[in-house]
Amino acid sequence: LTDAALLPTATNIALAIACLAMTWALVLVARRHPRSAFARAQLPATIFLGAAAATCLVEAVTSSHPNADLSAVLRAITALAGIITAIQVMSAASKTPDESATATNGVPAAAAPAAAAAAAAVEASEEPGANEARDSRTSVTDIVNGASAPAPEAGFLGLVSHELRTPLTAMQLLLDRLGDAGEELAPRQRSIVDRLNATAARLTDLVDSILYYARLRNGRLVASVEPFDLGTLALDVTEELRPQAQRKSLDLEAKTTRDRISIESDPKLIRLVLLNIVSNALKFTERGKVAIAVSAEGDTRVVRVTDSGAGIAADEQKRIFEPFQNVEPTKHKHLPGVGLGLSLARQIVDSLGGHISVRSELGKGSTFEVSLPAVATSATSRAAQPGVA
Amino acid sequence: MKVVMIVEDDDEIRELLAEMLADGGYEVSTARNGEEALALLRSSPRPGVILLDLMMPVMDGWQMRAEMLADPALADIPVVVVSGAADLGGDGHALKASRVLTKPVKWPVLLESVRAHCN
Repeated sequence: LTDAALLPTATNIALAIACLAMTWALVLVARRHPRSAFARAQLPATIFLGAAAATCLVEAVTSSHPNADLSAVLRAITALAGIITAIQVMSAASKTPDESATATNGVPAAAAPAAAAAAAAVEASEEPGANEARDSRTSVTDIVNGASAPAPEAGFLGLVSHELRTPLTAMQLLLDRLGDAGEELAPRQRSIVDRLNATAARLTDLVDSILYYARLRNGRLVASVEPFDLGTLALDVTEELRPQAQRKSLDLEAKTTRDRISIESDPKLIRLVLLNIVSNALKFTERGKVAIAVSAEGDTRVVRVTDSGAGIAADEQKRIFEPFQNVEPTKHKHLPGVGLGLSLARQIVDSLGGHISVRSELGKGSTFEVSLPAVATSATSRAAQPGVA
Repeated sequence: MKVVMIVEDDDEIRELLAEMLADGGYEVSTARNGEEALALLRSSPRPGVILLDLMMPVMDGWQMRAEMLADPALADIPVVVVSGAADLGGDGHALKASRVLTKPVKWPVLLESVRAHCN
């Protein structure tokens, strides 16, 4: 080799090694994650990288006497495979919002296969011991039921859930421990512990809301259907939010029949819906009251939440169910919340086969009505598992 | 009084739970992952209940549970899963846990689960 050819030859060999390493990485990812959203991009990506590696090797070998025809053919194959890969990755990314952020943010088009591999690798590595977890989950299920395990939580969501809940757990346990001190606490200290407990509960609800919202967006929300009393649930929600009402000196009342209002649905999801609607009503009501009424109307169960707040203008009534929308944000800048509650509530109610609507007039308050089928009709529902709390 | 075994990789939570259970009069053993827990189970008196986290390094809770269920000497030790995993769904059932608690767990709920097996 001449001195002039040494550098191009060395860099071509380095590039070829890099491309082959990436090819091997993709093969490993494809083997471990055959059902990944990017699985269809694996083959063209592998061809693309393999052809690129071959091109580099040919260039390295023939740098002193270039073989233009061979290089041209290899380049054409590389380009074709690259374009197919990019199309597959873009298609997969558009179907899976979580992964698309990883695949497309700031990644040049030429790096699409690497992005696909990176996305798959991130998906694989986000949960600590994710591979082992999935394998073992299958084995546990195999032992017990002889059936395959349900799809695991999306990597990013699993990570967010785990990482946020872990410090929340420590905080909650510490608060419970402090609360256990009982009479040792002065009234002022007790009040602080109570308020911290309420804040921890809000934070937990917020984490749940974000996770439910993301799962709904990804079509991964599965309702656990079981029979329960909707009236009792509404009363529980009322009590949970009573401190919020008391802080603003608002009346908060729940009206329900003496009889059990039976429903077969997901109590955790419906609790979240009611929490969001009632909490929202309390937030936007400055004086007067918020009332919750629960009734059974044929095969429909209805919860009406009426407030004596400022009301919502007609043109804003549709917008409030869109995510990240607060009514008249400039007027309510001081109010907490990201505007996720009503959007989440509507999507959850829809997913359970129900309907949510609002009637409101400026200056005369609002009534939110949640209608739910007596038996959840969603295709995403499944019966609750016995023994699972 | 039976022993309560805590299998949890987070130091803060593991130590806090151990402290709170010890204050409640329970004897406590702890492990940072499934592998440590299995070694302890095979070398010490059997606990009354195991509080099991799922997402842990080295050996996670699913794998540990699979190993336990495959071993007749360990298969019937009651397990309460305490996990921050977002959605266990059918896994909770498959884990054959006596109870599945989602983090953040409330102390009275956890204590009630322990009492059910250790009093």
